[in-house]
Amino acid sequence: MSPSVGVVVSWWPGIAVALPLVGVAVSAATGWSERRRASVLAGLTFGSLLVALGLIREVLAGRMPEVHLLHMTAQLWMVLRVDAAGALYGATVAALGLLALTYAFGYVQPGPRRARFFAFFMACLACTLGVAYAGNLLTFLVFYEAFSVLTYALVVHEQTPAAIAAGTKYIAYILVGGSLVLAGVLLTFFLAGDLAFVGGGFLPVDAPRGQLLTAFWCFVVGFGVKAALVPLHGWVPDAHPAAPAPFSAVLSGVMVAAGAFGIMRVVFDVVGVGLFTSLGVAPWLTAIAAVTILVGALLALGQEDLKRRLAYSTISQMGYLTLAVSLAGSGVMAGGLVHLVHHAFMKGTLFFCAGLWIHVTGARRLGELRGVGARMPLTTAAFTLAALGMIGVPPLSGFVSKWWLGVGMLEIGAGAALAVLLAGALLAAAYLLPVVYAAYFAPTRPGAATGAGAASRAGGATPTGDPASRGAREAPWTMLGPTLAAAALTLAFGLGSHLRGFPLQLAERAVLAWFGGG
Amino acid sequence: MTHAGPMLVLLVPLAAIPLLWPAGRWGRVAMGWLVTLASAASFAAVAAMAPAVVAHGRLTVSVPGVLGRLGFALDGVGLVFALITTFVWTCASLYAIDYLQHDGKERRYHLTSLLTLAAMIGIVVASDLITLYVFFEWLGLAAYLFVVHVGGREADRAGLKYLILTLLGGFAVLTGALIVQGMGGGELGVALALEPGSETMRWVAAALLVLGFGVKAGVLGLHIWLPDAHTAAPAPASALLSGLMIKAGAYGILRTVAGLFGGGPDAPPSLALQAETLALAVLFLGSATMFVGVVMALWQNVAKRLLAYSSVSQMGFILVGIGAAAYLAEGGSVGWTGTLLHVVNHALFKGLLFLGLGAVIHATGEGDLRRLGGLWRRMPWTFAFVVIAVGGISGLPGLNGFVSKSVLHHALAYAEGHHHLVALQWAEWVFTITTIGTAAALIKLLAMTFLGSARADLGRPVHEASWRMRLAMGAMAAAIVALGLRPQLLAPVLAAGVEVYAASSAGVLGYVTSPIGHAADLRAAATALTLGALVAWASARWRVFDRPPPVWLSLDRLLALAIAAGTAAIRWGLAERAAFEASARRLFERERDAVLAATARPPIVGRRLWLRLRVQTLAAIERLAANWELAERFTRQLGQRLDESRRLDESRRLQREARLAHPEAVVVPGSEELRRAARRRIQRDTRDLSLNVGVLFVVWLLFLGALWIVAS
Repeated sequence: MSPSVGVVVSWWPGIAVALPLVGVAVSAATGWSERRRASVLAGLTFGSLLVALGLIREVLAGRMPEVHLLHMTAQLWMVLRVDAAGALYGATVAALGLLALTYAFGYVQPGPRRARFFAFFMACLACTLGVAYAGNLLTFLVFYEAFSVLTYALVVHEQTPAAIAAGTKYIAYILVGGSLVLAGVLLTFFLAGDLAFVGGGFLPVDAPRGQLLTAFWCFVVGFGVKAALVPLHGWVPDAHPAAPAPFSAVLSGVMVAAGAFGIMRVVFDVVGVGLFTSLGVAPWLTAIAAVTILVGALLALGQEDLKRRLAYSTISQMGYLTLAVSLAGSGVMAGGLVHLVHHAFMKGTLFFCAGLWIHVTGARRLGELRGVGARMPLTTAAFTLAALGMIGVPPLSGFVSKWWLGVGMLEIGAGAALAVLLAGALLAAAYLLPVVYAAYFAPTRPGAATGAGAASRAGGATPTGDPASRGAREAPWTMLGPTLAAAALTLAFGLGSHLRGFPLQLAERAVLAWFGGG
Repeated sequence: MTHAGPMLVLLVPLAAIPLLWPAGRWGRVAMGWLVTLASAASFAAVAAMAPAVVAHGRLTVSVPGVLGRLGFALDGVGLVFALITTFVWTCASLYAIDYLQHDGKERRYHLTSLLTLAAMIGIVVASDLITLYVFFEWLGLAAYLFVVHVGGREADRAGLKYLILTLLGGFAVLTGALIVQGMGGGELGVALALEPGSETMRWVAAALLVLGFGVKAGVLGLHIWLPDAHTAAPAPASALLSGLMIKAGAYGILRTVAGLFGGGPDAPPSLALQAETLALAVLFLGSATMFVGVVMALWQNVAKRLLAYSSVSQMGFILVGIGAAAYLAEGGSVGWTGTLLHVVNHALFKGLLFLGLGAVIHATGEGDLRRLGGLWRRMPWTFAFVVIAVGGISGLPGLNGFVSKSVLHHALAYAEGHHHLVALQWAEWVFTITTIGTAAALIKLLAMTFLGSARADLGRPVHEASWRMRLAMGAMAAAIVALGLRPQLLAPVLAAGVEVYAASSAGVLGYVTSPIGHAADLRAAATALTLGALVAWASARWRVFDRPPPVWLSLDRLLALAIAAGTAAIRWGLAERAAFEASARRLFERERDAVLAATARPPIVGRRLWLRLRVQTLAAIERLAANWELAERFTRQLGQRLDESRRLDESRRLQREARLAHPEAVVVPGSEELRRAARRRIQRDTRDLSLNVGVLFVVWLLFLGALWIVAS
C-alpha cells in the first residue's frame, strides 16, 4: 500500500449502502402513490450515487474512509473500507443502478409484482454496493452471498415457465459457487488468521503449497461462476433473457462483474501479486480467460434471441477482466479495471435498447428487428453507439479500455493475449453489427408478423404491418432517458478518459496500491 | 509553430451537421447547398493556412483531455491532401444536389458526406498515429453508409465485403499502432528510434500498418472490396470514394514508410537498411497493383467497375511514387513531387470521370457499356468533360496527368540509378505497360459510351446534365487543364510537401515548370497514347475482352480456392492420419488396460458403483475417439459441399453472362427456384465453414495453451 493513503473513520460508506436499504422499506410501504414512491426511490438512489462520487473524491485526495459495522469475535468483524478499486466499482454500481431504476419505472408493469421488483432491486443494489466497499473477506462474502440470493427473485420476476427454469438454474449454479467461496474464506482464515484486504496480499508465503492452491482455486471457481468463466457460465444465457430488461442491464453490467471483482480482490488483496506469480497458477487462469473470451463470442454469433446474444457477449467481455488479472501486469490491470466500468455502461445501453424494442415492438429476435431503425431512431442510434463501443471503435469508451489493455499486454510481452483481445473485438463486430444492420438496412418484409402479438404490451394502438411503415414512435422518456444517458456516458468516458476523476485515474491509483508503486 | 487552424478546419463540416435538419425544411436543394458551402468553407480554411505552412513548415496544436491527447499538425504533405480533398468535395457535393433528386434519402447522404469529410480532414491533420487511427476508423465506418446508400442486394453484398475488410484493416492498424506506441513512438513526424532487439517487432508493426492502410488504398490482394463498393455507391459518392478516400490509405502508407519507419539522415545502418527494404516492398506492391488493376480494368464492361479498377491501378502509381521517394531517402525530392502531384491529379480526373459517367447513368439509367453509345450528340458538355478527364488520366501532354506521370517516371529512373537494382528496371517496364493499358482502358470507356451509335434502346429520352452538375464537372475540368498547362501554380505547396521528407525542394520548380520541355517525356507519352489507342481498337476489333476474365484471375475465387485448399489439406491430413489414428487407438487401448489394471477398487466404494464409474470413464474416453471421427466426416462433407457450391456459383455466373449478352432471351422457367436453392446452399456452406473455422481455432488455441504450459 502506498504510504500516502491514510485510513479515516467516516460514516459515508455505510450511508451509501444504507440508503438503498431504506428504499426496500419504501417499496414495501403500502398506501403510497406510485409517483411518490418512484420519486422517493430515485431520490434515495441518487443520494447513494452522490455519496459514491463523494467517496471517489476522498480516495483521490489520498484518504481511505472506513467504518466498522459489526464485531463478532476478536478476529471476525465486518468493515467497509473504500479504496480506489472499490470506489470505482461502487460509483459504477450506483450510477447504473440509478439509470436502471428510472428505466424500470416505465418498464415494469403495474401490479402486485411491481412492489416486489423494486424491493428486491433496491436490496440487490445495497448489497452490491456492500461488495464494492467491503474491507475484508468476511464482509465481502456476506454481501456477495446476499445479493446473489436476492437476485433470484428478480430473475424469476415474470414467472413464466422459462423464467422459473432460468431461476432454478441460476440458484443452483450460484449456491455451489458461493459455497466454494465460503470454503476459500475458511481456508484463508485458517492459513492467515486474518481476513482484511491488504494491497500486496496477506496470505503467508511459507504456507503449504497444496493448501494455498486449494484456497486459490476455491476462490476462482466460486467467483468464476458469477464471473461467467467458461465452463461455469451456464446460467448466464438463460437468466438474462428471462429477467426484465432493466435488471438484465444491471445483472450484466455490474453483477457479473462482481465475480470478476472478487477474483481481482483475491488475487491482489488476499494472495498478492508476488505469491500469485510464484504459485504458477497464472498461465492456467490466462488459458481459462482466453477460452472464455473466444467461446463466449463464438457462441454469441449463433444466437437469434437478442438478449441471449448480449448475454454471451457479457461472458466474452468479462473474460477480459479475468485475462487482465491473470497477466498480473500493472498496465493491463489498469486497463481491465477501466474496462469493468466502461463495459457496464455499454452493456447497460445495449440491454436498455433491447428492452425498448421488446417493450414497443415486441421484437425479441434478430429477424424481427428489420426496419426498427426508422421507427425508433434514437433507440437505434444509442444501440449503434454502444455496439461500436463494444467493438472498440475510437473515440468511444470501449476503445480506451481495449487500448490500455493492449498497451499493458505489450508492456509485459504477452503477444498471444493481445491476439485474443483483438480476436474478441473482431468477433464482437461479428455478433453486434448484424443487429445494427437488421435495424437500419435490412429490407422490411411486408406483412411480417413483427410484434403483432407482443405489441399489446405497449398498451397503445395496435400496430399493423412492419415497423418501418408505422412511422416513428419512441418509448416514453422514463425509459428512453436512461438509455440515452448511458449511451452518452459511453461517449463521454471515451473522449474524457484522461480527465481527473474519470475511471482511468482511479484505476491507476488502484493498481499503484496492488503493485507497490511499480 | 502552434496554430489552432488544423483543429478548427476539422470542426467546419462537423458544425454543419446540426444545420442539416433546419436546412431540410427548406427543401433538398438547401441541404445540398449547405454541404457544398461547408466543403467550400473547409477549402477556404485550408487555403488560408497554406501561406503559414509554406512559411513555417508545420502548424501544430494539441487538444489535451480528449482521448488522452489528440494531436493535430498540418505540414506540407497534409496540406496537399487537405487542399485537394476539400476542393473535390465541394464539386461532388454541388453535383450531388441534382443527382440525388429522386433518391429520397438525401439527408442520410449529406450526413454521411459531412461525417466522412471531417474524418478525411482529421486523417490528414493528425500528428500522431493514435489520432490518425481514430479518424481512419471513423472514415471507414462512415463510408459504409455511402456503399449501401442505394440499397438492394448488390449494395448489401458490397457493403458486407467492404465492412469486413475495413474492420480487419482497422484492427491491423490498431495492432501496429499499439506496437509502435509500445516502442515509444507514435509521432508521425519523428522516425521510430531503434531499440536493440526490436527489429522483428518493427517489421511486424510496419507490415501491419502497411497492410491495414493498404486495405483502404486498394493494394493488390486487399482491393477485392473496391470494385464492388465503388460501383454500388451513388456516382458523387463513388467520386469521393475513388478519388479521395482511397488516398487516406496511401496517406497512411506514406506516413508509415517515410515517417515512422523512415531512415533519416543520421540513421544507423541497420535502420536505414530496414527503411530501404520497406520502401522497395511498397514500390513493388505498387508495381503489381498498377499492372493487375489496369488489366482488370480493360476487361470490364460496366462503366463504374472499369473506373474502379482503374483507380486500383492508379493507386499503384502513387505507391510506386511513395516507394521510390522513400527508397531515395533525402534525395527523394523528385519522387515526392511526382507522388503529391499525382495524388492531386488522380483526385481530379478520377473524380471527374465518375461524375461524368454518373451523369450518363443518371440520364440513361444504364451503366453497362455494351448498351450505351453515341451519346456525344445528346450530352455534348458531359462528353467534353469526360474527354478532358480521359486525356488527363492517359497522360495527354497539356493536361495534368502527363506532368505527374513524367515526374514519377523520372523518379523511378533515379531509383534504378541509385543501386542499379535489376528489379527496378522491370518495375519501369511495368510502369510503361501500365501507362499504355490505362490509355487503352479509358479510350475503350470513352468510345463505348459516347462514340458510334446507340447499341440498345434505352426506352427514354436522354437529356444533358443539369447546370449544377455541369458547373461541378466544369470546375474540375478547368482544374485539370490549368494544372496541365501551368503546374507551377502548385509549386510552393508541393515544395512545402517535398521538404517534409526530402533534404531539399530546390528542384521541384524545375520538374513542374516546363512539362512540355522534355522531348523524351513527350515521346513516351505519344507512344503510350498511340499504343493504347491501338490496343483499345484491336481488342474491340477481335473482341478480346468480350469473354469474361479467366477464372484464375479472380481474387475472390482465389480466396475461395484457398479456403477450399485449406479444407482439402485438412481432409488430406485426416486421411493421411489413418496410421496415426491406428496408433492412437492402440494408445487408447493400452491406456484403458492401464486404467483397468491400476484402479483396484478402494474398499469403501461398493462394487456396483465402482463398476459403473469405470464403465462411464471408459465410455467417456471412447466418446472422445468417436467425436474425432465425427469431425473428420463432417469436414469431408463440408469439402464436398464447397465443391458443389463452387460449381453452382460458376454456372450461375455463366447464366448471368448469357443473360447480359442476350437480354431478349426468355428467362428459363424454374431458374428462380434453382437460384434460391443455390443461395440457401451457399449460405449454409458459409455458416458451416465459419463454424468449422471457429472450432478449429479454439482447438488450435487449446493446443497452443497446452504446449505453452508443458514447455514452461
